[in-house]
Amino acid sequence: MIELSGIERQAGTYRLEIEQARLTRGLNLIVGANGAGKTTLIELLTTLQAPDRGQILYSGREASDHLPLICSQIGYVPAEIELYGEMKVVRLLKYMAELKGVYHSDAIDRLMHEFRLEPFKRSKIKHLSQGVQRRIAVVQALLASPLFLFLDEPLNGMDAEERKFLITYLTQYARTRMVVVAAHELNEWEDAADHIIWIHRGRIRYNGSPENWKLGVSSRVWEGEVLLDQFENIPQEKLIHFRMKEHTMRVRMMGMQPPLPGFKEMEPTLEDTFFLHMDALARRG
Amino acid sequence: MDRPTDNELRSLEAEMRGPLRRALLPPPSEGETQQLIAALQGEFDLLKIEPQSPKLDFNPQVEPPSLKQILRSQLRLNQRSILLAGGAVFFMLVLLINPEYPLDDLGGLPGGIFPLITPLLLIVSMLFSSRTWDKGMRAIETITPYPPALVLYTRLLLVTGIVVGMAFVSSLILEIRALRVESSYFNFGPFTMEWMGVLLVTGGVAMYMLFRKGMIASLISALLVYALWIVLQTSLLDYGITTNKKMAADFSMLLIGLGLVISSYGRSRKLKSTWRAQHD
Repeated sequence: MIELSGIERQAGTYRLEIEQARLTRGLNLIVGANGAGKTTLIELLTTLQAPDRGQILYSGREASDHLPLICSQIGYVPAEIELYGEMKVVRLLKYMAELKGVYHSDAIDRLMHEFRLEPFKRSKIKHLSQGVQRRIAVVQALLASPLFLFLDEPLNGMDAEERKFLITYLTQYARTRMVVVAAHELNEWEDAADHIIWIHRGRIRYNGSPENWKLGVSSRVWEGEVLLDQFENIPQEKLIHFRMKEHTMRVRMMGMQPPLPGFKEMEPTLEDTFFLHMDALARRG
Repeated sequence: MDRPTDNELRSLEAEMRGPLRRALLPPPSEGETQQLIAALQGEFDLLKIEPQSPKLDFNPQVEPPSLKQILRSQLRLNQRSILLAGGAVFFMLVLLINPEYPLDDLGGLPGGIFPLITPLLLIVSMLFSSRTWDKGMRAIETITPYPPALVLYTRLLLVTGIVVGMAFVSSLILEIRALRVESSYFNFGPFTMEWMGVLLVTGGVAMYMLFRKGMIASLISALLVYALWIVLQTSLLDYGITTNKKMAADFSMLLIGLGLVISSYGRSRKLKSTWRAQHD
C-alpha cells in the first residue's frame, strides 16, 4: 500500500497538491487530461522526484529513510524511453538486471519467453520495431518482480496484439502486487482497472472503484446514427466518439435527454465517464 | 390456503404475548456493557492493527550489490566511443612527441604536451559518460537498490581507469622509443608521476564537486584546477625547482587526487538521489 499525505510539488506551470490518497494492490489507472499531473504523480511515486512538502509511505516506510529498500521493490516504464540502441537485447537486459541487483539469468530467460522476445535476443535494439522496444522496456521493469510497478503510457507504439497481451499480463501481475498505469486510452483498460485515480489540474478528483466513478456521473451516454448533414449540427462539446459509415455517422454523445430520435442509452465506458466528469467540471466552471 | 383475517391475527398476537414476554431478555445494564467492551478490547486492538499492511521488506530477488558488481555492470555499457576517442588522442600524442626531447614540446612547458592533454581528455570523457542523455534511460538507471549516485560514481571511476590505463600504455611506448634513441631527457618515473598527479587531482576535484554541488560546478572546478596547475608549472620552472622536489609535488597531487576519489565514494554512498547532480 502507498499512502500520500500533504503532498505538494511544483511542476512547471502547475502545482500538484494531494491532501490524502491511498493506493492499494491491484491495477490502479491514473487518468487525466494532458498536463493534469499524471507523470509528475508517477515520478513522485517512483522516487524520481521528491515532493516539496508532504510524505509518501510505502507499506509504512518513507522513501527518504529507506530509499534502496523501496527502490528494490519498484519497477518503472517511462512514457518516452530511448533504450541503448547499440546494445543487443540480451546484453541490455543483463545490464539492467545487474543494475537492479538481480544476478541470476532465470528472470531474463523467463520474461524473454513470456514477452516473446527470444527471436530478437541477439539483435541490436536500434534495429527493432517500436513495439518490440516497448516490450523490452516493460521487461526491464519486471526483472526483479517488484511489488510496485509503474507504467506511464505503456501501450504507446504497440500494435493491437501487443496491447492485448500487455493488459492481460498486467492484470494477472496486479493480483498480488500493485500496478499503477497512467493512460490516455481508457477503454482498453475497461476490464482491467481495479481502481481509478482521476487527476485534474494537479489535484486528485476521484480515487476509488471504476463502478463508483461511473455512478458519480450526472449525465447519460447516447448512441445512434445520423446523416452526414445532421452530424454538422451536433454540438461538438457533447460528442464523445464518432465513426463514419457509408452514408451515415455512428455517434456517441452525452446529455440528459436523447439528442435525436432513435438514439439509445448506453452503459458508460471509462472513456465516456471521463468525458462526462470533464463536462460536468466545465459546466461548473 | 385462505389468508388469515385480522381477527385471527389479533387472537394469535394475544395468545403469543405471554410466551414471547418470557422469551425476551431484559436489556443489558451499563455495567454489563462495560464488562463486554473490556472483554472485547483485545479484539478491537487487533482490528486497528490489521488494516495496516505489513512493513515493506527488501526485495528477496535482489542481492545488495558491491562496488565491484556495479563496476562490472557499467562495463557492459558501451564504452567503445571513449576507447576509440581516447585511443586516437594517445596515438597522436605518442607520434607527435619527439623521443629525443620528449619534454620540450609546447613552448618549453615542463612535462611537454602529454600532461597537458590527459586531464582535458579525462574532463571531456567524464562529461560525456557521466549521464545518459535520454531522460527515460536516466530515470530507470536511477531507481536502484543502492544509493543511486553510486552508478554515477562507478561510471566516472571507469572512465578515469580507462584514461589512466591508456596514458600509462602510451608512457611505456614513449619510454621504449626514448630508450631506442638513447634519450637522456626522458625519465619514466617523473614523467608518469607528473601526468598522473594532475590527472587524478583534476578528476578527483570533478568527482568531489559533482556529488556536492552538481555537474556545472564540477566542470568549472575541474577546469580551474587544471588552469591553476598550468600557472604553477610555469612558476615552478621560473624558480628552477629540482626534479626530486617536482616529483614530490606531483606525488602529493596524486595523493590528494586519490583522497578526493575515495572521499567521493563515501559521499556517493550517502547521497539519497542523483536527481540534483544529474539535472544541473
